[in-house]
Amino acid sequence: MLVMSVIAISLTLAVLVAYPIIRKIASKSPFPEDESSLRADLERRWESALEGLRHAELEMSVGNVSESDYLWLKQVHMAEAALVLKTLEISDKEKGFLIKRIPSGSGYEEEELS
Amino acid sequence: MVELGQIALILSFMMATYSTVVGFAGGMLNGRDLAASARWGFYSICPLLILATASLIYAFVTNDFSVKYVAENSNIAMPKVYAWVAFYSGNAGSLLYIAVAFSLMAGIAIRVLNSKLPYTSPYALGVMSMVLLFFLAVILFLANPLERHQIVLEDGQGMNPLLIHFGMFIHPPFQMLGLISVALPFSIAIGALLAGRGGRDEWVDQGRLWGMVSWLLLTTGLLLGAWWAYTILGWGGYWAWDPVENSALMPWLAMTAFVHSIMVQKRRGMFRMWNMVLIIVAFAMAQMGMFINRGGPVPSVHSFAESTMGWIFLAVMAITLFISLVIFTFRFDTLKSRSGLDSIISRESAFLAQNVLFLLIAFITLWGTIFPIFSEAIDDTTMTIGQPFFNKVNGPLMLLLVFLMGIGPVLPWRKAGWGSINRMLRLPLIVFFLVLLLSLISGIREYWVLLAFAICSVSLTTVFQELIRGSRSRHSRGESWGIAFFSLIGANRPRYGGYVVHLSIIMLAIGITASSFYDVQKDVVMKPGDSEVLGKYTFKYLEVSEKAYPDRVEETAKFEVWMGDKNIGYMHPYRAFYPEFQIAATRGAIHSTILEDFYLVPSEFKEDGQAVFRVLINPLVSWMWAAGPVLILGTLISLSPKNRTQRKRLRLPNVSVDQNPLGISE
Repeated sequence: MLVMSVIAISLTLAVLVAYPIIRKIASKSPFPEDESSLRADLERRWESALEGLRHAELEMSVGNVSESDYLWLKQVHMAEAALVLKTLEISDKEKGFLIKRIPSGSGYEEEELS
Repeated sequence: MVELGQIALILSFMMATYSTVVGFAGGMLNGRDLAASARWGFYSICPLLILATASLIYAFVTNDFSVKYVAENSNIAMPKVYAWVAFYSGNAGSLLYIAVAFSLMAGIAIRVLNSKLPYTSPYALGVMSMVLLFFLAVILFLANPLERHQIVLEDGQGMNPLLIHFGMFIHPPFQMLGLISVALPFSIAIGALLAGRGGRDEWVDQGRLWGMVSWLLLTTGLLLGAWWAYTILGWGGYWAWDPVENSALMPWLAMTAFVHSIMVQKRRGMFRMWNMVLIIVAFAMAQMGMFINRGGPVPSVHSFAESTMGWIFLAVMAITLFISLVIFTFRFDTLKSRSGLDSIISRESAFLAQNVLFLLIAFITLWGTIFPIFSEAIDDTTMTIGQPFFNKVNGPLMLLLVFLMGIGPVLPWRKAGWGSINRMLRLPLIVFFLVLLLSLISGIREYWVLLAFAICSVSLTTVFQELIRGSRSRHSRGESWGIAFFSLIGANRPRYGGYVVHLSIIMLAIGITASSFYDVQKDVVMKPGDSEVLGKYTFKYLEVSEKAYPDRVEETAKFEVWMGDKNIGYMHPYRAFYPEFQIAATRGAIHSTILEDFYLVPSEFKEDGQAVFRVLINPLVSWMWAAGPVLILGTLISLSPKNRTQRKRLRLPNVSVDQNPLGISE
């Protein structure tokens, strides 16, 4: 009984590790997006800029920051977002659309370019 | 069953070896099939270790004393429910527990990493497999809990009586899990470096997630340990700066610094090197904890018996530290910060100052803990550093941390002008002086207490100020107060979850301060019928009853207690003697209120009917135990995923990028 159990477990393990290599499941699927690509980095920076704007707005709305600090914070986060857009190869029209939408987009509304 | 467990252990060792080699190979060769194979190999380890664990617990439940570990850690008299505690009460079993728990957590982490960080995950998998491989090697070759005896014993030695307590079902599992879970963010960070990444903050989200999980486990373990010490060890305290306690505190301090610092990297792309160093230090300290716990040379009341195993852990710690620093050095150039500090008065600066303090306390604690080794090496005398040193040196630094905890989160990112500082800190500073004044008027003269209460009041005020201002802002836009409050927290979970955690830390700080400075203690010799007074409590010793159990003799005292004129009922402290172990375990009787604990514990029952009792009044201790659930709640709020509305965002258009005008390093 013990021998049979050991054989069964060992075979299961062998199949488990051999299957992905024999069937090449992972290599047949499309390459996942590289987390270190410039694109992924820009997305993180974009998210960070919007998050910064959202926080600045929240701080302003609850009365934590002065008007001048809020304007400065808004400016630096807008500049960061604009830099990200500048790096992307998108049309001026699309950039203009995104920049125009940043303040409201830093809230909760969803806007997406098609 | 035991043999099946043994085979499961051997197979899990083989699978861990396979996952380590194939995981790294998959990463280096960019072989996705190899990485998938390594992953599945790793997933199989957890069920195998569960099988080994089940076979050990089965041996405990069936009193199979042919298994050496079972014979050493249980006996026929042990209640069957304690089979779970007996499983990890010894060195070998605790290693198996760590291995099975880590294989489960790491399996979940790898599953998540594979989708979030596909190019980093094979390396992270390799590191995690290597950590597990080490534990499995120690289990198989040095401390196998399933090893059989040459001769079959009729009864076992039994479990250490001090471990027979409800707290033992949860404190050691959390503590061990907390220590080993530091390996998760460490593996992700080192995996990112090995993959040639880390310079673009790729690993930050996952590092923070698993760092927070680890931090939560470590904190829960520490709090449960303090609670266990307070309720079962019968000395009236909860923290003694014992080496094993310190060894759990050190990684906690480093991890606390890490979970704060990683947020700065996420928001600003700063502290990239610092965070790598922090997580390497945190893992080294967790390994140091295991070294001390596994029979290192530092004497402790609750470490495992002295053995050579501790030195193996120390050697592995040294090797891990060396390799990690070599990898870090090779990737040094990729870890430059994206931006610098805009101002000294900003949230980033407060986090940095906090980080430095956390590490300072951690290294002071480390120095105090390992000092006996140095003293012995220098002049052959073992000098231990006691509570007064730690209290005097770490106490003020911790107070400074609480102060920074109060002001740091309300400072804006990047910079704060005087206008903003005035808005945010005016009220907390007014409260600071008000509390100082009120404390002086109420008769408090100890300047550390005055300072502690005033600083705690600053932190408390900033938390409530934030919650009230945020709720008021939403209320002014038409939401009811209740909805405004909960939607505020729901919409900004990491921020407000953090505030809830800070609230619990304030409760802890107040509890520790009050109980450290204002505890009252008295040792009394009483015979039945005697009454004594301590503070506003009057207690009458009524009788003592003796009861014999198969493994122990229990003597239970009965007291009638009054607080002022009010009768608060009967209290039953007891002392149990375990003849086989020649150990007496006492358990205090505690009458706990929100303001103070009245604590009665027997020291000795004499032949002539007299008994010696230690009586204590510990102020605000219950605040510390109440802080635990608050802390867990806050961490869970912080970790809870964003809802659908919050996930909606202004997305970037899906276009290719083949230029780099920002000068971002590749």
